[in-house]
Amino acid sequence: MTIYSPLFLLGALGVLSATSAWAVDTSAWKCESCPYPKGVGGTVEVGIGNVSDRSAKFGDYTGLQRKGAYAVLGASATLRDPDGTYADLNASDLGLDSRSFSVRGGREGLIALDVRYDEIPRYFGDGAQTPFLGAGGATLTLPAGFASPGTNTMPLAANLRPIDLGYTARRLDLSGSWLGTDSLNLRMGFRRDVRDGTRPQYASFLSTAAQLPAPVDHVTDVLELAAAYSAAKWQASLAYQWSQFRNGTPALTWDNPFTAVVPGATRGQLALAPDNELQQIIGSAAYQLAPSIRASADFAIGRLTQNQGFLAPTLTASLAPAPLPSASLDGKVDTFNGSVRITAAPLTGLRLNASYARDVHDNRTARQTTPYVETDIFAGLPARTNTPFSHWTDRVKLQADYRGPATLRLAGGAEYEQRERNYTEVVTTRETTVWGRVSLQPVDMLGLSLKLAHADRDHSTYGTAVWFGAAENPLLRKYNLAARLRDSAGLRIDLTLSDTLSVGLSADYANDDYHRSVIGLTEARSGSVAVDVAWAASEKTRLHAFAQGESIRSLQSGSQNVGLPDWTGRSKDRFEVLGFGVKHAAIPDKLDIGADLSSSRSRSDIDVQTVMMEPAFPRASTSLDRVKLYATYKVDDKISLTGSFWHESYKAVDWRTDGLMPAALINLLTLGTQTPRYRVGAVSVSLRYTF
Amino acid sequence: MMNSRMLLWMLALLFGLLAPTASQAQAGSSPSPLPRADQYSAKGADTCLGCHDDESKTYSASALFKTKHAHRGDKRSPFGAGGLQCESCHGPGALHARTKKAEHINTFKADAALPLAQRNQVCLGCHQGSTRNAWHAGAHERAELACSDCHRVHQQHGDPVLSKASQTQTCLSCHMGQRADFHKPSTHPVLQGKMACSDCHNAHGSSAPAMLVKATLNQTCTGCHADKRGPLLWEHAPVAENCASCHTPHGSVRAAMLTKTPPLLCQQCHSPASHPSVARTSAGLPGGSAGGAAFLVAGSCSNCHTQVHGSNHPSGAKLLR
Repeated sequence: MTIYSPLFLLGALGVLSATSAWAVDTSAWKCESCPYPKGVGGTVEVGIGNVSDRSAKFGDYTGLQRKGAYAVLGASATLRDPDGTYADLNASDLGLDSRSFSVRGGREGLIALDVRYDEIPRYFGDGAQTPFLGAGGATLTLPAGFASPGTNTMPLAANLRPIDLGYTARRLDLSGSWLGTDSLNLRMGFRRDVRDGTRPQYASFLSTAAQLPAPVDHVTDVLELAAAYSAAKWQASLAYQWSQFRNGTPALTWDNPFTAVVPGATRGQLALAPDNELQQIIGSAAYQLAPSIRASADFAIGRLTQNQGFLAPTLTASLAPAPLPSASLDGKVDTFNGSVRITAAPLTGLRLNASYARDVHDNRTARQTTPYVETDIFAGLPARTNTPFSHWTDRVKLQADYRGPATLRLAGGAEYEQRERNYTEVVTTRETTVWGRVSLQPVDMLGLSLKLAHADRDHSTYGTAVWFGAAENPLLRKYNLAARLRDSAGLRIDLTLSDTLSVGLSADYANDDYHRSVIGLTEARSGSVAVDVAWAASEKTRLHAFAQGESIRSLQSGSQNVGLPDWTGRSKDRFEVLGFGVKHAAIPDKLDIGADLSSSRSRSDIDVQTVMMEPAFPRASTSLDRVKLYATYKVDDKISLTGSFWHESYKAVDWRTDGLMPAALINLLTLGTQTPRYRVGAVSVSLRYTF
Repeated sequence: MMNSRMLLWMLALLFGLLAPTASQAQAGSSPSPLPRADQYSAKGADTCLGCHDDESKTYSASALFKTKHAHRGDKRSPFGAGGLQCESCHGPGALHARTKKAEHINTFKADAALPLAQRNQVCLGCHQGSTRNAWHAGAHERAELACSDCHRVHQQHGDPVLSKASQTQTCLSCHMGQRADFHKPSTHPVLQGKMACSDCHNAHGSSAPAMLVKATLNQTCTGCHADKRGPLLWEHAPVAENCASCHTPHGSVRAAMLTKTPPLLCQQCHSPASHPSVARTSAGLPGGSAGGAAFLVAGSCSNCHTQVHGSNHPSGAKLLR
């Protein structure tokens, strides 16, 4: 059979014009020795594991928070039918709260289907205890007579009960594509995220507060319909996306554990995240203007709405605020995101790149003046008017890349970003960035790259914002709005010492100078160094190792007199991590072993200084040592045994939570979760059968 | 002051300058010579598999046949009807079949005879479009990354970059700074294999900062954290604008991936008369001389201002309800 080569091969050879086709005789290309899988095959894994101790921190994300045995369950399967029907299934960790599975299949060249399910468990600390009844629900109650002036007189001993704080995030993802033609692809996808459980949340009555086990009852659905068309010189796609967030528990009511400051202030109510909906139309296109010039563009037009019914301003019956101006917000935000890009290679070795992007977040929610009751205690305060924040951003980028003589590469660019805002202190911020990079390979085994950048941000007149309460210090400059000089440098060295051994080194530095800020953040600096080694010691053995260190510092000024600075706050974070890994085919095709080790340390120091010269805060620190060992032994073609050993030792010191039992502070009732410390080992052994 | 109209004029001017270049480029460029039919192998994949089978000492191609690239029923696939099988991507193979030398075939490795742009065009010839529309303008393309630097098409269990559990190692081989972040005490579940870099970033390029999958950082974050989407009656300005005002999404040494410990975090932007402007020193810790420990420990400012992401409660103007 004589066929014509497809256009994509012509494209691969740099020829995209409609030249006359030529023929390759593939009549003898039977693919008789092609090792296509046939029928059904797969694996089943069954085993048992054990966790040596309970730890919420160890179980966060992993599902291994409980002490004791757990089932190791997994499977994979493939189906290949001569008519082109195919399917691949993978399932893992079925015995844990971190289980997942996926099924992909379809009919070759016609349809493709994808089903995925995944669970992610979250745990928020060990040792939580609460006197509240109804944890996880919409109403938290206390036994009669519980309320007291302070935590030191609350009947905690008789009423504290342990609770588990955490939730599981479950995701189901369904998608299907129709591949009916060479050029057109239609896709439909649906995704549901469900989160249910509890999480810690604080709630207050003026000068007292309590940490509550708040409900998490969220469902997010996303539906996407998309079409993509691809031709030789241009490609385009268009999609509609609808997303809805629903909160099954839109409010949390709790009994005040402290003696009511005003009669009747015995219950409070928090508004939890309201239902919302987002619709977007998203499109993109690209066009090859010439062999060396390509342009592309994309846009997304969206509308975000929220119209959850308002709660009552207060639950304190004796307070009678004015009626609300409306029953709900009827919130509406229009979004627009658009960009165009063009690249060209006008000369050999030179590439030019230009782009423009505009992002709009236009909050069209109406302003309304709402009667206000402060923490169910004080009514008669001035009504408040909401501020629907909007912003408009324009970004322009120009870049050039030049391939010089030998291995020299030069790159440079300039970027300009302008953002306009409403209802904030600053209407417009403008930032210009220039950068340059030089890369070269002076010898075959050595690659060097250095990048420098400088950014200068300024703003329109710094005024006052619409807010509530006392006026801000006129010398304050909010750091996301303030004038800023940013300098950064990055160095990268790649050493290819041999065909099997490579070393990478990198160093990065950045400095932010808020040079016109008198109050607020005035300076921030970060630096990091990293080294990475990859070594294929032999055909059977591969090793990798890495070491990284990072330091982040900042300095801010404050004023207790709404004037010139009279105190400073220094913050310094340091983090180091070492890692090592090895994979070894101890007995080729029979026994594979491996190990991953890592050790990380963090230190956070905070020092707030006034004229009183107080000592710095105690250092907050973490240390984590992790060892993972694994081995797989192939008994025969169908059976293999896998064993794993995982040990972690974690210790943290944090003045914010150390020793903070429920009654540690007289005006703050906490859940008593402590700074995590654990030493946990998890071993597992499983048998895998291949069919 | 720069405005949208001025910016559009700048781009139009740039396009106008490039237009003559385009015609020059087109006129001046000479297409590569097309391979002749006799440069292709005699039997296609059967020729290649004669050496590249499971017994091969150099490279076994058998894993490909478990993937979509080998779908015979898909006309778009190299193994579909009329496809050139292995030689669709690797180029004409007759010479390589005779000499067995790597330099006589496109191996997709850095030392392959085919220049990078042409190696990438082999892939882009089919895979251009959709989420790869911005590849030509993206940082990875400008860094002269080859498709094969990240993608492994001939893998038994599929391309590692397409799996959440294995994708991250590929990215971290270059983005070393993020590897340290993922080892910090508070991170997204990337090392646990529950999230991958591609959940937030489009490695093929996008117009968004940091090549995010959505147009803005907030749209990317609220794709999963839709409860923070709003709009709300009482909004917290930095939340509506940029989640990274307070959070560092790759990882932090403190809970909730915060950039700084409260109250200092909050006092960077709040300094009116009354308690927000008070210097909270170590003397305010429990047992200290200053009192006000509730401003420091536990949730600090959020012990009371619990609705830090905004509130829809009529009495939530100060984020207390």
